[in-house]
Amino acid sequence: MSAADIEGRWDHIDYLLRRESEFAAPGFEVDTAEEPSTKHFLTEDARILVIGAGGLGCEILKDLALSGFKNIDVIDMDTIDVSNLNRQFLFRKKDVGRPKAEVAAEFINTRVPGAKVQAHYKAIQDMPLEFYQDFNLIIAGLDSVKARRWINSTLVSLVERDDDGNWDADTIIPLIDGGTEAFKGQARVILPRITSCFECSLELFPADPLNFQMCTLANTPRQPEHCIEYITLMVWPDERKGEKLDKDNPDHMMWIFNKASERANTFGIKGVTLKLTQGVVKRIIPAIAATNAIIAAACVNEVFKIATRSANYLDNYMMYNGTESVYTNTFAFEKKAQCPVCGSESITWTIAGEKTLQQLIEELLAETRFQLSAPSISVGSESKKRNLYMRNPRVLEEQLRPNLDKPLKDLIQSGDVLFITDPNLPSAAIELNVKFTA
Amino acid sequence: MAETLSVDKEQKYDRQLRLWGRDGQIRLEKAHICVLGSNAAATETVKNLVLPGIGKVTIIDNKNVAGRDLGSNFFLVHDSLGKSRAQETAKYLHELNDDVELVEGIHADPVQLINNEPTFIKKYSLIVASELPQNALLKLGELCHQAHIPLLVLNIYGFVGWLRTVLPEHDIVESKPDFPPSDLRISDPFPELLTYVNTWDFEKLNSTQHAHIPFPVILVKAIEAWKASHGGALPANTKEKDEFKKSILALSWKAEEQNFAEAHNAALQAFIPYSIPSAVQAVLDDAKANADNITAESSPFWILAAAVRLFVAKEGHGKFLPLMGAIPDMEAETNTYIDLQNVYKHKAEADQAAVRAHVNAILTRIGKGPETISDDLLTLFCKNALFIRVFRYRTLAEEFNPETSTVAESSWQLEDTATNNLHWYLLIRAALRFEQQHGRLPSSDVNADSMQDYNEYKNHVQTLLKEHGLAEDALSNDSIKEFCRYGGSQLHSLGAILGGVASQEILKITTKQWIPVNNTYIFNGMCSNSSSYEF
Repeated sequence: MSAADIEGRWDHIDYLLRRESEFAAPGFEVDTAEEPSTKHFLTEDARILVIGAGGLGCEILKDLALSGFKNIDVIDMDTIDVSNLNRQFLFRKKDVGRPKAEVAAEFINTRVPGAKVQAHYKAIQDMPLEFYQDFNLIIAGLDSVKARRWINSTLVSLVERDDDGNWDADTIIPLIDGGTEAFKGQARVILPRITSCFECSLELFPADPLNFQMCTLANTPRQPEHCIEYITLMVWPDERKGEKLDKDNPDHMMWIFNKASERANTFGIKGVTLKLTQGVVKRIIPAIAATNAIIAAACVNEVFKIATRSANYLDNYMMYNGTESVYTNTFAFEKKAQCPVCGSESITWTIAGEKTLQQLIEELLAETRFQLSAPSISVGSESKKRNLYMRNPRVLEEQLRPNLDKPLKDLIQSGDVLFITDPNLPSAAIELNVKFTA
Repeated sequence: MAETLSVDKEQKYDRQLRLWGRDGQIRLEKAHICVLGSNAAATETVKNLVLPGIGKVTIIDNKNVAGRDLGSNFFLVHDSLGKSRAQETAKYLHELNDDVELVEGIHADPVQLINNEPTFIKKYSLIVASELPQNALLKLGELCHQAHIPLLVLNIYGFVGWLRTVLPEHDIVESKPDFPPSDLRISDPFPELLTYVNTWDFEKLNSTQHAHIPFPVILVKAIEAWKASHGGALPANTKEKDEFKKSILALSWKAEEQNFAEAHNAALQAFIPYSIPSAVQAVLDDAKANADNITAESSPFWILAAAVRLFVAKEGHGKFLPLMGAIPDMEAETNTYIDLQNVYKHKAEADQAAVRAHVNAILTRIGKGPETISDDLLTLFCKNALFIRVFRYRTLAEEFNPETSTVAESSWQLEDTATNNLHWYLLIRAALRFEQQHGRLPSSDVNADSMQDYNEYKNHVQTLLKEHGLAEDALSNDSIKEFCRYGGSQLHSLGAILGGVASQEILKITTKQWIPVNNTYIFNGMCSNSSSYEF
């Protein structure tokens, strides 16, 4: 008997798969000992992608492997740092410097008989679309809003319509997304085109608390954080021209710390420490294993339920807070008709016709619900499409640059639909129905 | 505490030190927890404590590793089959962090120990129990209660998990609320604050200075003016409060003045009079905070509470706790912000000195020196005076005894659908009775179907409901059958979730920071929601 065929190994799962239930999801079919088709799907056929092999990723990999899944891919572009070791438990001191995805896959494959975790030491943006299409379910333990927007937008773009004009269920890849910070976290289930997507709920993610007004940093600093940010944003680019600030370089950190201390002294501000400096410059978020364990397992529990139909899955958002007692709030976040990624309605935008294209772009950049970085604009669709301003390629950008200073009324008519694309929203476009003010 | 952490530990533990600090870490490293049972829920709990560097762990279990353990427990390998589950899991758990002094597995029957060697618990600072039958569990609860040792009980059944914490008495200085109120004393300014505010003449300022008047100064001036024209009273009703808020904006020269917007948003602080929060008042009113009751055995917490109680009566004029001293960031010029900071800082220090005098008097009376209470601890206590808490949890005996049970008070919740979490709590309680009688959980033969023990289990359910003053049919047949479906299944994910919550609670209890759940947590993995109760 091979290690993978240990008798009774999957008993705990068999209770749920072999027994009927009023609480099972529609389409649930009981396994029999002779024909364990759901268990077979779980252990042999299902292909799961794990995005991130850090605090959440390590937990997710363990939980998936001990839920019966064998065909698991994991992607992460980072290498292991010593400060990871208090929670990223698949890594040891000797692994520091090695790619997270590779070390994580090795550990799981050694520890859990039969597990076939395949590692990809890459950025998610570097994988082709076909890579993502191969998976039944994708589970993300990312640490950035930007990466989440990318995978969300990509998966929504993969959904096609069938011959009847409905969304083709075969092209929908569920995305289970988890996030944590100290004692707080959230887990959500996104069915692209069906439920709310990540972009629908962008406003739930609070703005960076260390984003201070420049006049405060320059003229009226009051907190040690103000002193540190000033050095990072204003003094470094000036005094160390052309040199990129490497946040993992201890000498660079020391330089910032010393300058920030000097600045704090001249203003009479106390509290600049090396630890605070590192925290501010690197935007360090405190993290412990316990919270990651909870959120990761909650996500894998959803993957298990979706894959087996042994119970209904989360609809669609669970927030968790463990600071005062233990608290969760579970609710269905509504899909937004005007969501730039998954919405069906265009957004009406009122602006004076005399304003220039550049001014429209500035308004779009200031709009917090979009969170754009470098928008390109075209008008009309398909055969009637006309580029107004494109950032790439260079030759097109140079050709269209004069449009930026032209009044909108010279470029388009009131009521035209503009298509806004942006690096923050791959494969998606914001549809803007522009109306000129009287 | 004079101990420092090594550079290696500072680096490895950086992300958690930013949460609970060196003092929290040192408390963690002094703890020795005993874990009875070594299933997935238990070992996942231990994992999340070994990783951040808990002092010592002792796992006690008499089970040998079975096939199904390899499918649910990460801390076992193929070679572990047939061996002591406690010893095998301890080995693979210790491997997670070689800075942890001890992670040992003892192959012994926890039930035997509880019944025949009850003093075994005295070695430990906290006990975790998983998979204990009901009688042994209640006996353990009694033992821990007598010995004043915290106990955590956790069990998982299919998609449902149960955590019960029992703390004899738990005091917290740093409860660290998510949204701590400020202590700016705007509605009741202390003399030094008034003096400082009166140095400001808004009319004499240039436009930059005017746009940087700190908002507490604006509010104190405004509320003092209001009190002067309203016989000393604060705005009393909605109309007056709106009027007051408008009067603040009326002082502003330009719409862009952020400081006046801050003042407007913080106006609540001007018209709500200062009061000591009820949770803090409860601590000060406790018999143990009466200075006359302080003895040489009293803990630093109660000595400080007694001193603060005396402070409130004397220097606090029967009304005020020691001033917190910190002020939030606000739109202000650097120099004036620092001046304002110093006003609050000096007052806080004066209050702390007064508390110190009370502390020293108490210590003298009990024959101890002032160094018994360090300056650091005194400062910490005073800065956190608004957030101190004390909890005394109900015992397992009180919970399980129908005469003292409070579950009937929540009976209205049962009218909800069968996925309401109170259902699952009651089903678990009935399953514990079934298990005590039959030595196994309902329908635990994986090769049989759910109905195997349905009738017998249902009897236990109905008896339990009746004894606790609930309707016999309060739980649906579907949910009773669902519990039989679980048959004692222990999914790894549920073990990881409950283990995560349990370890988080143990971190809070051990570091004495944040607020632990009081006292029951049910996680429902079908709905991905949870509920907490005080039973």
